[in-house]
Amino acid sequence: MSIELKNVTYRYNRNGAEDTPALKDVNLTVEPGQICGIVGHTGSGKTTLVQQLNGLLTPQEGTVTVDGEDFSSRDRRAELRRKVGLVFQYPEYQLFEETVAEDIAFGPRNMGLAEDEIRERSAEAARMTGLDLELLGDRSPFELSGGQKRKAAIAGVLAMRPAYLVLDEPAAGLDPEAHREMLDMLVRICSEWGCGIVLVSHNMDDVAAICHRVYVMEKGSIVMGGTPDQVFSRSGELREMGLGLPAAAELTVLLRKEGVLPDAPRIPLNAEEAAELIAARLRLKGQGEK
Amino acid sequence: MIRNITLGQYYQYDSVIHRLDPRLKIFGTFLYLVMLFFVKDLVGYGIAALCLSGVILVSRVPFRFILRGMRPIMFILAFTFLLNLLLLPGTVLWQAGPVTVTHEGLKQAVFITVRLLLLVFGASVLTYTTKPMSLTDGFERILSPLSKLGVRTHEIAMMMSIALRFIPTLVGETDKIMKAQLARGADFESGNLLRRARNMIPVLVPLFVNAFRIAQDLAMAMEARCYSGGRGRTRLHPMRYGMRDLAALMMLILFAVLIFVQSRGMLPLPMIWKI
Ligand SMILES: Nc1ncnc2c1ncn2[C@@H]1O[C@H](COP(=O)(O)OP(=O)(O)O)[C@@H](O)[C@H]1O
Ligand SMILES: [Mg+2]
Repeated sequence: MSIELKNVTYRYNRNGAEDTPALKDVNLTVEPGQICGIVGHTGSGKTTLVQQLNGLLTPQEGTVTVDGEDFSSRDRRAELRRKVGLVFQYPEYQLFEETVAEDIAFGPRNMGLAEDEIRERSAEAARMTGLDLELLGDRSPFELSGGQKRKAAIAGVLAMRPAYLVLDEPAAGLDPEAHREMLDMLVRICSEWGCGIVLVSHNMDDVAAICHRVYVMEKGSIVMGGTPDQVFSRSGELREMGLGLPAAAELTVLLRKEGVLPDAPRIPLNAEEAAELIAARLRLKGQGEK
Repeated sequence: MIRNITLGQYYQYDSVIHRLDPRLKIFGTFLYLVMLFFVKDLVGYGIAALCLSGVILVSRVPFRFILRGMRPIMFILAFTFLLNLLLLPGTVLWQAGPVTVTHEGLKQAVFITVRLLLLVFGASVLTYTTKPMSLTDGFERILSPLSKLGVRTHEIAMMMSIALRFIPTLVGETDKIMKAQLARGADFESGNLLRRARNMIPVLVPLFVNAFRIAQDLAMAMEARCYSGGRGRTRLHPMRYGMRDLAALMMLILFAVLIFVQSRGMLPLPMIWKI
């Protein structure tokens, strides 16, 4: 049970074989109950990659399988797409129905579910995103605030109860509070529903905070993969690619360079860990001076 | 999903044709289009096709590229051809069941199709070799005498250039929205015509909303940079006619005369399939 990409190569321009492909020999496994982060520069192929995951784009070479099935059969394609919920960047620009409730129900309705099942799923999805459906359900989606629109759009995908959830920069352009809520929501979806989640992000702090595995993309290839600990300990290589580190890790690297902190294989990924490390160091020094 | 539309795009290159004054190119295209309606026989079309091929050759726009641009109108062409071929009465050439092809039908079908092709090819050479900005600047200057009559020529030209500029943006936007709705189980491929039209609502509503949003943002950005219409605006690159424009004008006139003379049967060439 997983989404598997094997040696996937994809070119937007099919006839021009000479140009560099948007994806080159990509291998990736997405497991249920895990959050998998994908980071990389603009243009490194992240959006192209996530569209492979539910068959919106099909690779010229290599295979994509969802729970062992690929997207080649037309009849099964719709079924598989339901398994993999895809939330595009700025999903709020895809709202269209007259009311918020109707928009959230669009997906389940396309699945041909019964009316009370649709209502139940919509309510559950809205609850998961923190959208107050009682209050906002009858409003036009175009009257909502930016953050509420985003929640409504994501609820529209969650209402299909996907086994996997793929999100392209879901926190882009949100205020700090909505940003935090978004991360909390992803963690909750993962633990309560056992969803396999793919999170495309620019924000290293987010990735370090909630992902179980991290993949780094460059020029269409996955150049690094592993736990956040493993990936962010290779700070030099990341910097060469022009990618940053989580703020706490960055601080630690700088302090180590100054000789304030001793070199160590492990790098702290959040403020608490970094604070502990620094505090321990300061205490040690204090004792030495006494 | 709807990519690779080359019709109406600009093809970046630095040929003589690219460098001609946009006003002359607009006039030339107009003259060419008008002259096509003077043509009375296949030889006339041959002359037009030959001249157009010459221009395309000099412009260095790959023929493949232009052909690709024809794809969207292929259907219309085929439709027009068949309609004329099968529906015109006259002397029967060929018959099978209810289907009859007449001499007049064949002639008419060939004529209309060739004319359409030459029209679109000719007009597309203008857009392939002229930057949208120069094109609208050229239009503005050509129309500028009308501004004395109160026609807001600058505004019209500005709207044209903005419309051209946003075609690829809206195509990309449509693609994105379609994919997003596909991911929510929308279906654009099955059902009868009415059903399919209804299924497009989830695409069309966000598309319009986003188009207005983009337009509003653009208007705001233009105002923030003190855009206030055409009055008193000067150009960074003023348009000037040069020797090469004069030469091109001569050739255009020669072309027009050739077509006209052939249509009157005054050239020492045969008239084939005269109408
Ligand atoms: N629809 C498209 N047609 C052609 N090329 C595209 C298209 N979308 C993306 N690309 C190209 O593919 C590469 C990867 O783009 P993308 O997947 O959007 O990167 P990211 O999401 O990491 O910013 C880029 O070089 C981009 O120019
Ligand atoms: Mg992207």
